[in-house]
Amino acid sequence: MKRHVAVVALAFAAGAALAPETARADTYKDEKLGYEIRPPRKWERMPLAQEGDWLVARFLCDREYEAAEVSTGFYSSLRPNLDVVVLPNAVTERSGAEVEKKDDGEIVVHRESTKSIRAYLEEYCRGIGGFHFVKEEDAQIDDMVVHQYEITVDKLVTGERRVLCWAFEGPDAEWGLISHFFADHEKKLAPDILAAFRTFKLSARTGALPGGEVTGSTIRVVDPDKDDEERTPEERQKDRDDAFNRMAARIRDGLPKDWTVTESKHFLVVSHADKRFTKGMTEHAEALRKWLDDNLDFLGDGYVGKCILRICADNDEYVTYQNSRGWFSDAPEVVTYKSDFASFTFGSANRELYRAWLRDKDERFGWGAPAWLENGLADVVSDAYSKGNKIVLVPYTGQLVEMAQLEKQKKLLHVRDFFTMTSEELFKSEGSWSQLRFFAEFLVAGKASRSKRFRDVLPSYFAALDEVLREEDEREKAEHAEPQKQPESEEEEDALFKARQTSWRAKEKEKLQSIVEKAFGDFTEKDWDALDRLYRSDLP
Amino acid sequence: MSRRALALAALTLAALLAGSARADQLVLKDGRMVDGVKIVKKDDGVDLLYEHGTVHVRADLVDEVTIDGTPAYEPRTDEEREMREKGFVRWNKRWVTVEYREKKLREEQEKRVAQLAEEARHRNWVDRYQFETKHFKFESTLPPAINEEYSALMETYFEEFSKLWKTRVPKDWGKLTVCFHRDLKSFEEIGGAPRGVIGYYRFVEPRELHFFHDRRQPANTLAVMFHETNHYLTDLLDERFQYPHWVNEAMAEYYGSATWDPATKSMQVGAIQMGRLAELQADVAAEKFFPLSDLLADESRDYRHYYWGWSFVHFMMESPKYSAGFRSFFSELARGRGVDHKAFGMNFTTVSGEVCRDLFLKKVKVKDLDALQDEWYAYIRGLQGGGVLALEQAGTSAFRQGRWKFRAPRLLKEAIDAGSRNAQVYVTYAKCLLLKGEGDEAALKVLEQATQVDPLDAAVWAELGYHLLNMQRKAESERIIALAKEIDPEVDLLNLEIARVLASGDDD
Repeated sequence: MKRHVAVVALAFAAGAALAPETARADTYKDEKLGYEIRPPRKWERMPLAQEGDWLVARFLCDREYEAAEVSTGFYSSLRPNLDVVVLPNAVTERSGAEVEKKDDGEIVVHRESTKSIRAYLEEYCRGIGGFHFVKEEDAQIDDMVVHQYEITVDKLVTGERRVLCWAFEGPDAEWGLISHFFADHEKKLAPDILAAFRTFKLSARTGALPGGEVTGSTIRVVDPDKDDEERTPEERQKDRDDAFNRMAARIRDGLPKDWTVTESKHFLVVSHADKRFTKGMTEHAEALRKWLDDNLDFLGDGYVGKCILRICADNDEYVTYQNSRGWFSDAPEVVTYKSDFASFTFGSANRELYRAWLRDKDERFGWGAPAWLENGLADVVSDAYSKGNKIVLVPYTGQLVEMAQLEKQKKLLHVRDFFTMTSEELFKSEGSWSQLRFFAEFLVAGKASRSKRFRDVLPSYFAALDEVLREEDEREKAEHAEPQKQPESEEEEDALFKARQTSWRAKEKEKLQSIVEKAFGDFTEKDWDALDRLYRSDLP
Repeated sequence: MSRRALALAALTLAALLAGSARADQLVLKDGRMVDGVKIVKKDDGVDLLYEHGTVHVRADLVDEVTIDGTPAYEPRTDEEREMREKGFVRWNKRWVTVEYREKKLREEQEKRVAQLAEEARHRNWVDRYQFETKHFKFESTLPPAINEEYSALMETYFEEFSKLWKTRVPKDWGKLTVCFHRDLKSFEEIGGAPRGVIGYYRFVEPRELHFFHDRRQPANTLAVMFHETNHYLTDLLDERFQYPHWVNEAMAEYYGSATWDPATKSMQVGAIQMGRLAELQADVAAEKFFPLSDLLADESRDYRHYYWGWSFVHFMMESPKYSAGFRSFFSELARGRGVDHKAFGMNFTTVSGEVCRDLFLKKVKVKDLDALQDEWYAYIRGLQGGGVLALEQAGTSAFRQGRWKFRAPRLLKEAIDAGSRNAQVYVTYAKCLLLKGEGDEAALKVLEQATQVDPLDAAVWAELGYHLLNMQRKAESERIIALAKEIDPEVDLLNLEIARVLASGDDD
């Protein structure tokens, strides 16, 4: 194999001497993966999440192009890109599914979905709009067969696009170069992009090709007899720290030019923004983390580990990075960017910081909490600003106005409604989002949190929720263990079907009722009214 | 398509175009084309000799078969035998020499092979067929025969609709572009449709309609065509007016159930939407009704508009008592002079729920909405599904709803007994039998029937292979899986692969 690689490298070195020399950026070399390419001049390499994906580098044009549709008034902007993708033969040759029994009883099924660069390209284009291949040709460049594709994306997309791709058949992998831009700018962009494609070379690599384990979706079938709860807190903490350290090492290892890595007490900060913004955002993240620990500690006893805080230079970079992320990562990573609209930037970062914190604290509350609580708390946290190392909650003016109108029209919900209404009922209420936000703030940081009589309302509610979720879990396990009741006639089957149709609503209602009984069983009408008066007196 | 499969297809096509090394080729009536496999003609169809088994395709499924090489001449009568001895054979009602017959047969075959190669070339969107009729511009990757039928349907529909609703195409619109895709995958890829969408009308410039040919259920293709085209035709009532979602989708569904007779090139509206009826009946069974006053004033995009709305429009349009009033209401929503239109994004207008309800009450001359609602609910209860398609849809729907023990198998069995030619109906019925515990053999028999109903549906063969694996008939299962892959290299075998690995897991 070594000999084969060396031959290819030599052949490419010879080929490069013949490639046209135009004014372009410095050659980018990835010694670990064993390739190099010279992107068009001023195109910048972007950071990538690199989690089980085949995208190994992305370069973005320094200029943003625009397209508009007269008939719809829709507008779209795009920074042309050049992606480098690698699909190892070892992976693409493996077909179908694999089932692996692990020590902890987990069975992992791998499904291979990306079998070639062409297949990857189809998936890539599907993410843009309706497309078709306009050209497919094979060429021989040095020792490698190169499949050259040209694609038009012209349906359900604002601004017709062109996608160019060259797929190089390497000795142990297929390498793809993909570029995407508006068709209107093809004349200007295509020559530079194709010239960059021609500079692609393979060389001896010092590392391993990516992945090798998973392509496409992964289905996890968890053994119900040995779930996560059986691991000791120490084991869970170690797993969490290990995951963070793996991510941190990977980040330090592949850090693009001009990016910095700093570390604070609870965050590894990876930034492409200026020093001042990075420092400010880091301090804010620490302040919010402290606020969460101080005010919502009762949410669970999970170990909250360190978190990655990634600060992109601008929105484009942020979008590119977010698009390269998988839906799950071993350790939490919060991504934000520098913007002139601080409230928006901080708002979205706050929400992510809260969700990352909650994932460690007790992830069940992320999906198992009633809608009012989950949405209300996330909204409150998203309004957090830091002054020094203190957090202040500043609601949007629009929400303040809406609450004032609701109060005037006597449309404010009674406090008991928040606890007892189903999500469907709640969201049908006028100004529901604002009402949820202010009620959550009242409980977590408002007068309720300072009232001797009511400061335990939220912790008690969570304790009851925890109990109900555990009971629910036990009940479901027991239900699964028991054979399901089967109908004995079509009439019985119809009746069961009807019951199932209505059971979701009934179950939600029942769950809410059960939490309220456990948390506020001893509340009298007077208590509810007193809590309601306190809430209204706390409204701005 | 995998690279190997693509290479094979490319080679086959290249060979066909070159006309030198021809291959056998089969064209099915539903537009599918098979090549790269040896074909043998039989009295009742053709046999396809795959490496992993012979697949018999019934004559009623076959549109055309081309077999490489000229068939040997076999005299059947005494006269033919006598002439054969003299060196003559019968060809096109004439006596010709053996060499002449062979030459002519070769010429005909080459001509047809070239035609098929041309059809195959047009399956790529970049080389699609493009043609025009009186009111439409078509772009298609389907075979010419199907293009002809679909375009005739579209023209008939246009004429019928414009006669009833008195519509005309605005001068600056030109002919509408209609895109036919050869399957769901192409429709999603080329048309850019998100998963779950089965047809769409782009209602801003460039206006376009997109459909795909559902070879498994051609009736679905027609329903989608009638539905989506209705959105375009409704736009012709007033190009700036956007109908409220409930009545827009409900009217499209009403037209969506129209039936088409290709022989007389005529359409008939007012049939029952079986799938919608099944959804409706499920809601009725669960006592989840849609109040009429809510429906008439609804400004949301509630999914229930597709079936509750359909039933209401069906009730109105088919009722001699209400039909004229309802048509007037529908027309005046867009065109009525005194109707209060409000702005609706992107230079469009619409009406508020209140205006919509008031106009309905006025035009249909309704004084007691509750009484009308009672009439409507009674109408719904009286709606009956009928025919094979109804049974297929109701049975499949019942299966999805988890009613696999009694309702679904009863309806699916009735569909099969009534002559269903939908292989998926057989597969679903087999699943019911398995879930009910009626035995592997019973399910196996039904799955085998499914492979006879559609012998070139790789997914059906894969189901059979999966079932054989569960029955521990590993060798047979392996062969059937390999055959499924041969028929369609892209067939999704995930369930099968998992089952296979799990079945052998203990040995590893």
